[in-house]
Amino acid sequence: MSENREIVLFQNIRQVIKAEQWCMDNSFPVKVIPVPKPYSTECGMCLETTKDNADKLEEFAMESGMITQRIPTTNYTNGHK
Amino acid sequence: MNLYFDNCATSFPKPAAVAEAMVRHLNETGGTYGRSAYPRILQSTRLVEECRDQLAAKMGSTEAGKIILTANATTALNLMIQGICQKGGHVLTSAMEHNAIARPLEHLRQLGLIEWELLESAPDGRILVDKIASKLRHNTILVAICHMSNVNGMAQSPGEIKKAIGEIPLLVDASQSLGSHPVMVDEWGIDFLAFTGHKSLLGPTGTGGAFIRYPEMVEPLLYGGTGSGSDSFLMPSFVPDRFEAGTPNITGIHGLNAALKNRPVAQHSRDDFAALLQEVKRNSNFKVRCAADFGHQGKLFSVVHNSLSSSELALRFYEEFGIESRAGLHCAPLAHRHLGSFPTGDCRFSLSPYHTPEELNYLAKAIHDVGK
Repeated sequence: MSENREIVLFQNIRQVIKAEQWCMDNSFPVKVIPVPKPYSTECGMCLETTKDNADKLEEFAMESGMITQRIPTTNYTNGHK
Repeated sequence: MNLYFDNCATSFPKPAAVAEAMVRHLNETGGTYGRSAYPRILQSTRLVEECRDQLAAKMGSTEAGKIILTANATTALNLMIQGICQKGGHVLTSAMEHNAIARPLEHLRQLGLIEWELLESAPDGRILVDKIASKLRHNTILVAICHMSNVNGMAQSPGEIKKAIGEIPLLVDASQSLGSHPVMVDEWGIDFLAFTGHKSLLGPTGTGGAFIRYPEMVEPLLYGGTGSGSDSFLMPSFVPDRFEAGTPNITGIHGLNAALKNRPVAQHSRDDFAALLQEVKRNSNFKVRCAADFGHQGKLFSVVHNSLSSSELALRFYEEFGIESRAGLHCAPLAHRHLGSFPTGDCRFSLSPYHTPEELNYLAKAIHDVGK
């Protein structure tokens, strides 16, 4: 993963799926990955994408009433990096 | 010829896609809901959320995330009734209730938590909306009603009832109606809705759910793993997780999703059904249990014979005509008391979209012949 990539955590699984669908509908490359170890108390999956796409994703999430958390991939090391 | 007229108990047949989807999940795709992120789980999880979206569209809600998937409508009703009434109060219900509402209410009454009483109704069970206000108390916390009676098929008017009760929450049991009759959760102002997947929606048994507009008003019924907030011993505060502890019926949800996407075109018309009812009503040996106004009639009705018991009727319909019907109280003693058929019950016929006009004619003739 490059330094400009981020993971986006959601409150629950439904929100991950809806966000992933939105990304696919809008042709934003996004990857569904297991929630990294330091944040694993959240749901079992999250989205990983570029910082630019994460900006757009966050905007969509806010408009949809979703609560998200963005974390640069440089902030953790757990095998996903 | 399709002579199964017990679709209110469970629908049959189902769209072929239902079994295909379930077998595919069991034999090919597999995967649970959301607990990890490998493709097998992701595919299964996407489908569960697609199903939730389809259910929301079917019930006229824009908030699919507030649909909780449960094993059946009874579980959903217990979740909401017990979850709303924990602090006690006064509950109003209708004279046409199934035990899925009556028994949880009575359980809570016996625990000393609530009082419950019946709203006034017309002879066919339709709630007299202009009499509702006189029943409301300062501590009325819930009005819980079935949308469509499973005894005579009469459909209430939830939107009018909601207008009459104002801010008091309205809980609607749509077990018989969702799939075969319009349900408009948002437009009618329904606060809580229970549904089952295996009746009018034509899905498999073991599926159903609840729409919970105000999750904060409901205490969970089940506690356990949700795949979220796992560092806490407390259930999450957000939906659907708050009410979905444990692995859901993923295979069943695959079937329900397929049913929603492959709804058959009804093979008989509303006029065909009206003609059937008119024909049955012509037989003076039967009392026909149905809605007074055909505009409020769902696709079921019952008959009481002037000398044969309901069980004798059901036996003769099967042995002489191959017709499968349902005799007895239909788990709805309140409704039968109101309709005057308690404790003997009656014999019920419930239609499927797969029934043809010829099959309805066959049923009419069978009822005529048995009733001679």
